[in-house]
This record gives sequence, C-alpha cells and structure tokens, in this order.
Amino acid sequence: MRRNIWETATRIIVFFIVMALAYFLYKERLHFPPIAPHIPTEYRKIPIYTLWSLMRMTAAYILSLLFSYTYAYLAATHPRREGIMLAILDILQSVPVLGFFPAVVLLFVNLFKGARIGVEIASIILIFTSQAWNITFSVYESIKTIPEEVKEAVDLMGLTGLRKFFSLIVPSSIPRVVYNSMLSWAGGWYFLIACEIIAIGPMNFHLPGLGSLMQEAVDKGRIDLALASMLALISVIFIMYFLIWQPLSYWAEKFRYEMVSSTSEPPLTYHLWLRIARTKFFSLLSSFFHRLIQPLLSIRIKPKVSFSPPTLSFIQLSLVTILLFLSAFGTVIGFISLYSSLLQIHFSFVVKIPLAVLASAGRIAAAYIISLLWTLPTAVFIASSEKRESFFLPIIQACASIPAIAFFPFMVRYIVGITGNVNIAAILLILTGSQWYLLFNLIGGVKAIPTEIKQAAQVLGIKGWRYWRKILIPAVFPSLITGSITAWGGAWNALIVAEWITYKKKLYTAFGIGYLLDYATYKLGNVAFILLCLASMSLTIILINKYFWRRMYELAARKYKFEA
Amino acid sequence: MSLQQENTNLKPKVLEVKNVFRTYHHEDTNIVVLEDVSFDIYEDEFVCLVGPSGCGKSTLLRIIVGLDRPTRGEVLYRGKKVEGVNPKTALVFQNFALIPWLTVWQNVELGLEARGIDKKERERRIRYWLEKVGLDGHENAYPRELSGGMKQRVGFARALALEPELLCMDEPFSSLDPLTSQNLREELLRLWTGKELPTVSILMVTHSIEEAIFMSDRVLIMSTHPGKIIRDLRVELPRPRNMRDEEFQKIVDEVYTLIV
Repeated sequence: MRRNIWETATRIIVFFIVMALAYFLYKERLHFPPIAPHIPTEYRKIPIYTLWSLMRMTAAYILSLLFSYTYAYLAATHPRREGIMLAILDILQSVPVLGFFPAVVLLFVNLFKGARIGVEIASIILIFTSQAWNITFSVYESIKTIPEEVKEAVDLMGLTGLRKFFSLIVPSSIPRVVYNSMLSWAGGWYFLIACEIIAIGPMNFHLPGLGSLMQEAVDKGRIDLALASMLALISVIFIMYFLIWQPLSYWAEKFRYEMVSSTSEPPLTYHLWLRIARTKFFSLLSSFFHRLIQPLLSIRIKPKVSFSPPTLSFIQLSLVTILLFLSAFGTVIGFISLYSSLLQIHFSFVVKIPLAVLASAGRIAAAYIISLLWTLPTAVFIASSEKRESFFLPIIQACASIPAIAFFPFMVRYIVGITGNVNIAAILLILTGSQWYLLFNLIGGVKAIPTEIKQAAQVLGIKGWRYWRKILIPAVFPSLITGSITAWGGAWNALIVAEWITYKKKLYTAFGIGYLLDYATYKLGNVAFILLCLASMSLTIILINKYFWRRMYELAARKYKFEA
Repeated sequence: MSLQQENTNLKPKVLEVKNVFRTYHHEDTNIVVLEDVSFDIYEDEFVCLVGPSGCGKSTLLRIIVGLDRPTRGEVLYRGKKVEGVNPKTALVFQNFALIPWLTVWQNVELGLEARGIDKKERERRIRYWLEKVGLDGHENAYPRELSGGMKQRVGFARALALEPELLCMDEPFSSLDPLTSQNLREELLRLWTGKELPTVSILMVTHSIEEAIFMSDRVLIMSTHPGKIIRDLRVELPRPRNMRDEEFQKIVDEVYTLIV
C-alpha cells in the first residue's frame, strides 16, 4: 500500500517535471523562415515520394530500435532506475505526436539554421515518437520474462556485459520485438501525414513524401490522386510484409521459451533469405561485422553488488547535486513562464478543457465498444487456421497503416454529407486508429491457447457457446486487456486526426480534446495552451490506465493465466 | 516363458488400428512420423505403447482418440471407422491440461456438462470420482494451488467421470516425481484390477519399459524414424507386480535385449 502511494507520487512528480522542462525548452523561438516547397500534384511524383517516405520511416525505425534496447536494458537491469524510467515511458507513450511538435521542430530547425536537413531530422524524430514506445515496452517485458533458470545458466557460463546482451537479451526479445515492429510500422504510416506536414500556428514546413502528397490531393479534391497514392502506400506495405515481416516472424518463433510445436510451413521468402544468407558476399559481410564487434564483446562490465548500501563518491555526489539543482531551477522557471503565459490565453479556452476531455472519452468509448464487438469473432475466425492467418495478417496490417486522412473525403461526403453529424465521422475515424490493436492482440491471444487445452475441450466435447464462455473468453482475457490498453492509447492519439477533418480546404470539427489540441497547434500556435491540453490528456490517460486497466490486468494475470 | 509373441485373445476387439501412416510436410521434405502401424486392442486389456521420444507414439494416440487423422490407413472402434473425436474414449494428458481459471470441481464438471448430463447425475459422478482419486476436500481448489500429483489426479477424475470405454493416457506419470508417480500408478492399478473403473480397456503411452511392464498386459514397442511397431509382447506376470522382483527384472532385461 505504502509502496503504491510512493509510486503514484513519483509518477505525478515526474509528470510535472517533464511538463515544466518541456515548456522551458519550448520557450525557444524559431529564428529561420519556414520552408514550404511546392508539392506538385502529379502522378509521376508518386514513386520518388514513396521512396522519400520509406527512407524516413526506416531511419525512424532504426532510431526506435537503438533507443528501445538501450532504454529497456537500463530500465530492466537495475531496480533503482526501473520505477522512474517506466514512469517516464508511460508519459511519453500517452503524448500524441502533435505534442512533440514544437520542441522537436524548433530544436532541429534552429540547429541546422533552417536548412532542409533540419526539417528532415525533425520529421524522422516525429515518426520515431509514433514507433518507439511499444517496442521499448516489448524489450523490457522480454528481459523481465526470461526464465530464471536460463538466466542462472548464462551467468554460470560466465557471460557478462555485451556478450550477455547479444547472446541472451537480444534473442529473448526477438519474438516480441518482431511482432511489435509490425504494429510500429503501421502506427508510423498512420501518422505519416502529420509528420511530413509540420505546422505550428503560422509556420509551415512541407516535406516531399507520400503523406504530404496525399494531404495536398485531398485539399484540392483530387480523389483520383489520393487513391493512387494510397495504392502506392498499400503496395509498399504488402511488399514489406512478404519480403520482411513474414519470414522474420517465422524465424522469430525459434526464440520462444514456451515449447510450441509448430509444424507450420516457412514462407517462400524465408527460403529466399536463407539462400541469400548462404552466399559468399553475405558470409564475408557477417564475418566483417563479427570482427567489428568482437573487441566490444570482451568489455567486462563490473557486476553490480546488490544489497550493499549505495556509496557515492564525492564527484558523483556533486554531479547529482548539480543536476538536481539545475532541474529544480528549470522547473521553477518553467512553471513561472507557464503561469504567465496561461494568463494570456482566453480563460474561456481553459475552462473548456474538462468538457472536451469528457466528450472525447465518450467518443472513444463508443469506438471501443464497436471494435470489441467485431474483433473478437474475427480474431477467432482468423486464428483458427495457419492459412487464414497468413492470408489476413498482411491485409490487417495494411488496413491499420492507412492514414486517417485517406478517409476524409469519404467521411465528409457521405457521413457528414448525409447525416450532417461530425460526431459519427469522428467515431469512425477513431476506429481507424484503434481497432486494429485490439484485433492484433486478440489474434495473438487465441493462438496462444495451449494445444492441450484445446484438445482437452475437444475430447470433452465442449462446443459452441459453452466453449466461448468457459474456455475462449477467459483464455484470451489477458490479451483482451493488453489490446484494450493499446487500443485506448491509439484512440487518444487518433483524436488529433479524428476531431479535425479538412477536405477541399474546408474544416469540419467535433468538439473534444483532440480538437482543442489541433486548434492550439495549428491556429493559435500558443505553446502554453498546447501544453495544457497535452497535460490534461496525458493525465487522463494515465489515470484511466492506473485505476481501470491496470486493475483489470492484475485480475487477468492472477486468474486467467496458463501456467508454464 | 512369460513373454509371448503370438496373440491368442478370443475376446471381442475394442480397437483396430489398420496400416496407419502419418506424414508431415516440413521445409520441402516429408517427415514420416508413423509408418504402417497396425494393432488391435481387446476387451479387458491394458496395453502400453513404448518408444523413445519422437517416435510418434503421442501422434498415434491422438489419431486413436480422433484429434488427428491418419494420412493413410484407418482406425476402427468396435468395427466402425473413427472420424472426429470418439466419445467412447477419454484422454489423460502429460502436462495435465487443466483449465487454470476453473476449480477442481468445475474442471471435472465441464466435460459432463458438455455431454448434457443432468445436474444430479453430474454431482454424483464428480463426488464419486473425486473421492476415488483421493481429492475429496479439494473441490474448490484451483489447479495452481495443487501439487503435480494432485493435478494429475484431477486429470484422471476428469477423464474417468466421462466413463470412457477406452481410457487413453499420454505419459500420464512422466511429469511427476518418482514417488508420486509410483503412488498414482499403484492406485490406478488397484482400481483397474478391482474392476472399479468404468473402462473396458486402457491404452497408455510411455517411454519407460519398466513402467510398461509394471502396469500392462501387453507392450507394443515402437522404433523411431519412422515410427513403427517392432514388437508386440504379452506380459504374463501375476499382479500385484513388484519392480524389485527377480522375475520382473528378468523380463525387463529380456525386453531390452529384444529391442537393442
């Protein structure tokens, strides 16, 4: 109980410090004129723009991997770091991509004196913020769930430092990381437009890419071009699935600790990769890399002596003191400027925030119920056979990647046009950014039901509704909760594209926190108000997670878990 | 001699396995798991399938209860072809396969409910079998609160409450410690020889020759790669048997020399 209070307190303190520090950073001003190159709406630009977007996504993904392994390793291997690092990750995860806009953009545009490379880096980092967090969590979870016996065996073999990292930590994380990478790529594509068209108040940066092309096409009402660029996007997703994710998922199965006797066929591309791996060029390449990291592997990291009181040297102590002093100073300054800046905002905006959060939460709940109703039966249908799964998985991944803006013309014409109600359109748009997470997790959950349990049910003749009630729903309950948490997170992030719909230069809005955030970013450009919206949104997400989903999760872990 | 090669059983056949093949596709190659397996099980027989791990004995068992299909050949139960799960059989699993979120009572009840057995009869059977396997007083426990031996007792109760004619067991004692497993073996044999089981015949898969000779009337020995039955031996030792008996050890040695 006491521990719980302490944890909550740390979380709240960290939350405020991050917010205040963020504001301290945000106070920086843009010194260089924005660049908004003309984006020609032409068909022949599609291939090159696709390439640009793909390169940004790849760079962001590599960045995500580097960040995830470093951060998760640091968090999982030391209990004193663990709590605080997880708390920070929790907050980062709940901040929608728009929240990173001002800091990232101002920092890099100023750093590179307004050159395009600065904007490119800013864009890559924005994509990174929509890819990284779930990978980080998956690495952390993987490290935490390595069976004790395996850890002991590795320690007995005398593996330490980077050698241990590459021979134990990385392999253990592969199944989860591969799976989450697919989700991250979908998330990256989904927010691509927001990351290629960077607008803060009057400032506007456009980068050539599939996202900005789509936006431009929709703005001009060129449905044909929007469809064509969407087709290009879907093609890229399919090619990547069959060339990379499918063989990778097959390969990743080897790294599971649970014994799953899988007799599934390796995909065709798996053979292709095997053949490539056997070529001379590849073996030369790998031996080169081996030699490159060899000296790193033998670096010995002194094993931590636990259970001894922390002893800090004088230098460490003074460093910590200076750091604490600086962050305290930053926090105070941040709060003072935040307060004075808030006074400038029309008070009427601030009072709207609670109502806006409530309205958005209502929409999300509606979208969640809809997705729950259709995803569970669909997951059972898809997971029941390997063939079906390999057929549907790329399709689902493609669906999850389609940016919300692709639906704008349809939403405005038919949903808003016929019903005259932006609310329904907003709920449908929230669905596009959340339901897939639920579906993905449920498929995983249905697949994870042990074969013995299924066979036992079959031998006992448990079928139909009884099977659903007694076996299936309880069995997938943990995945249902995990999926729900990510779906809700996705939904909050999707609000910024669901409550602010532009089509043919006309704006359709649904009042909510996403709308307020868009308004603050695109129209007001007021950093204090952006921060206030973000803070209330993140706080709501964290509270719902802590007081509802976490409890459900504990129930799931306690009651509905298969023992090893 | 107590080991006989020929079969002189005149009782009715319960199960006929006829020329069963089972192959899997894996990375461009066909793996033959079972090759031309044939044997019969008669009434009042306790049969053991023995073989090294990976010889396909579990696959064979799953084909017999109807969870899997043979690639070629067929399985007849009382003269009728087995298609889909055979309701006259029950299966005891190696790793228990208990549903973790159901209590002991509910775990046993689930199969009975599924067969549409009314509440009164269900209660009677559950109470009866939980008592028989020594689980009275643990009705409301969850599987995770039980020791391995207790879990497998639930596994037995769950299978026996269905009153199967042919009880199938897939290495039911191999994930238990030696003492517990020996206790359970003896208890099961006591029920079997005392005619207290609702079953007519038992088919058990194991990798231990000692266990097979200790328990069964007939031992089928399988080879691996591909899985084949290479010996069909009758064990004519009087019960109760004792693993430390000279006679028992002699038979074990005979079997070892036969298969090596």
